[in-house]
Amino acid sequence: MEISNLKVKIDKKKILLGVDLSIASGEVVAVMGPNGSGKSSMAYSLMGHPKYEVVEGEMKLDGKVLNEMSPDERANAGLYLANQYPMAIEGLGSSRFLWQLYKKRHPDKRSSIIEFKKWLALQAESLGLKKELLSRGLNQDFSGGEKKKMEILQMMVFSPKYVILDEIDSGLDVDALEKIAKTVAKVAKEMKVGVLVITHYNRILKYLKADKVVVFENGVVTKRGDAKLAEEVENKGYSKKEDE
Amino acid sequence: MKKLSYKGRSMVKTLRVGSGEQVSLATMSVYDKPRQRGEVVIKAVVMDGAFLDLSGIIKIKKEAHLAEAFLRQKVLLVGDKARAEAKPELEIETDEVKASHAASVGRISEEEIFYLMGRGFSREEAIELIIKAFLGEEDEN
Amino acid sequence: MSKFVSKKVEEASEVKKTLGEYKYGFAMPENNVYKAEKGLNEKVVEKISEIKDESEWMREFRKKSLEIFYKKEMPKWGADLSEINFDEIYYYVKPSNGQEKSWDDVPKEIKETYDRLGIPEAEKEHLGGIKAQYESEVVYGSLMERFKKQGIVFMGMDEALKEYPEMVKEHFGKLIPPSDNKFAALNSAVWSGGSFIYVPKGVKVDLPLQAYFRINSPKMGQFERTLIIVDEGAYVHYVEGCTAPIYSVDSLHSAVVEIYVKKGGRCRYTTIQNWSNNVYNLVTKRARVEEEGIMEWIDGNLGSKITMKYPAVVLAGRKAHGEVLSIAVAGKGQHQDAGGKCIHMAPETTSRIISKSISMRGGRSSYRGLINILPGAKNSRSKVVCDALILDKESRSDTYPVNKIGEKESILEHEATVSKIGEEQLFYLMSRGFSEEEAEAMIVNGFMEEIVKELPMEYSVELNRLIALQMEGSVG
Repeated sequence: MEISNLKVKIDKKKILLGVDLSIASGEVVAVMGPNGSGKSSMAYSLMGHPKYEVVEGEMKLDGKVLNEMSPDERANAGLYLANQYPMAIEGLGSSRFLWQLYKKRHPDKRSSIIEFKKWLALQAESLGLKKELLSRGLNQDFSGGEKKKMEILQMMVFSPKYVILDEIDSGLDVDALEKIAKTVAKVAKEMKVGVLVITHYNRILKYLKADKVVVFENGVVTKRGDAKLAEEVENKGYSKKEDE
Repeated sequence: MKKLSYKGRSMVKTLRVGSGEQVSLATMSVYDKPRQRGEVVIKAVVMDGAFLDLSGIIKIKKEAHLAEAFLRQKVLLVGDKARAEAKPELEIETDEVKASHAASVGRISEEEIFYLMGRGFSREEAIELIIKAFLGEEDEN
Repeated sequence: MSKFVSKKVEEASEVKKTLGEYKYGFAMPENNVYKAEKGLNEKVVEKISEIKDESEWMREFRKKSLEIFYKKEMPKWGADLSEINFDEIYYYVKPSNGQEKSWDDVPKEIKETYDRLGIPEAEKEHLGGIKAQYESEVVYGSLMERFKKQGIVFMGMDEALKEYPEMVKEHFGKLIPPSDNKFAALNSAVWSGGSFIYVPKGVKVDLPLQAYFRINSPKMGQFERTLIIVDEGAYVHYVEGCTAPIYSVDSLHSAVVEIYVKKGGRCRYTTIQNWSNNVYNLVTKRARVEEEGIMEWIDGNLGSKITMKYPAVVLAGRKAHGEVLSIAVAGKGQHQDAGGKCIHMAPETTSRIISKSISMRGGRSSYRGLINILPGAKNSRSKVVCDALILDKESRSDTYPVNKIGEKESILEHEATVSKIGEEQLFYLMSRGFSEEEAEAMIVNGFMEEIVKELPMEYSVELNRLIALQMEGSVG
């Protein structure tokens, strides 16, 4: 996935001022930076959120230009966004939704719904997601942590080519964080999925080793490096002090 | 029948309908330009033999995109033959709005009265305390 | 004159032979010729009674009702009924010379909907109004056997008047008298067809009774009259209507449903209405529930040009419980004016009204409700939730609830929200690869899920698909 000179506005305000970034298949790229630096904006812009207006630059996935594509077209191209604030859709049964998602992403596969549900239950367990939640509406009355786990469960059903994790670590306890990070790391390695991890903290990178680290400040990339850069940032902090 | 009527998108009105009184309170909130916001909160207490007719309408016209409108009517029936009618109405002519209303009519629970009496307040004093708290509730929010 | 030869109903074919062709809800004796006549007058009413060979009592009841109909004014509230022309309506026999309907006459959109819903050929013709009867005789026969053994009575209203005159007379028109409203008066004068159900003490009917089980009944008649009596501790679930659009030439449908739930009994009445867009659907439904009884109205309003319908529950005995679950979908040119009424007359009674409505393409959906907690109904509780979804700028939603409390030892809560489909929710689902239309349909289905899950399986599946189609705009 390639991002070149991306400039984005939201509500007429400039939020990304020329971002260059690339993620290769199977590569884990960490994006760190203070609040308001534009990290999540980049995630939403990549996914085609209507509020974000791309004024200049290009986003490409496996050579395809994403700029004019609608969110579902980008998803069909293999891009998956694990949201920071996942939406609850009242009345849309989680289990049923995941089955529909599965059928949409893998039209050629012939699993029966029973086989699918069995597989789903195993994945949910490995993520520490309680079985009862699957019979509830999608994210309906889920805790913050449960919603994050559901994002990852959806990712596993989706089988993406590239994944963006938008601050998946916020609101997770240590156990959950470890489970999720290890799951993503495994998927990245085995299925050659490119991963863009957006995070404030170093913690998640303990289990999900980054090949590249990039620091965002004020809408541009200010530093590039390898995993060691993440530690540096953790120790020295960012220029601004922010509240969580 | 005492008639009170108010026009406006935002207001808080608290009201005691005393023994034997008959009061009608009507509020009308009209949204006719984009991005207007409002909240109407009515809290009333109805004593013995009194009657309260509470009507509140929120009208959101076609031009009022992105309106956010709320109406809350809360009534406490205190007196024995107290009666109330709550009619919160909504008329919405466009889609990009957030509008909700809620009406509740209830009574003072005996447990609350008992609790306060156990602290040395007479029954009348206890009821008065509860009423004051109910009407002054917005401070907590 | 045709007469009911057999009092037993197990031989469906025998009954059919005796009745002759059962069109439009009543028998057409072979040796008489009736001319079709437009408009309403005492002669027409008398003729209806004569054709049905009714007792003096019912004939007088019809005539008195007609007088009341003339005297009563049109309702000053609700939807716009100004275009109804009572003189242009056929109240019984319809002209058949050269005006037999053919499949070609059925509107294109409706035919397409049938295709999209995967409805089998035979049923298509029935729904399209071409065939007056769905061939369910075999099913019907053995069911009737079983019911007879249990003492359950399930037959057409016309038959019931003859078979159980005392029971009918005791209840008919008592819960909804002709004076109740203009359309109840109309129905009382010209009613035809509808169901009569009696469930004996302690008997629980183990499968939902469907209107089309009744032999020789059209999918839904113009002026149906239904009476259900659930005796102590008994249970029945009655289902009428269907989700697929029904093409009707009749522009006025005015039904009356009266239900009595005796002590400890329970009744669930499910209706899904999807009349074509020329129909005025004005219905009066009321149930009276005695001590510890339960009444559940499940009401789906999808079609018609205008519907006015407010299923009511009178909670007459201690601990009685009433529910109205209502779905209304108003599309282009439609006004669904629906809701529910619960009247608490006894202590410890409870009620719940949940209304979910959707307005799209300029449609208008209104909720009209009444909760009345009368003095003496101590420790009663009522909760009303009405949620409305408006899908576009042309559409409209209204909420007109009336909450009356005359008993301080009671609690009433009412909540209503109006919203559109959230952009964030749409984006979320689209980012998973669903198109905008698919995402919208999923959100709308989720919105209605709470009520749809109470419907019999076939209905809920069809309903979801139908709404998705309506949102696509391919259905008028």
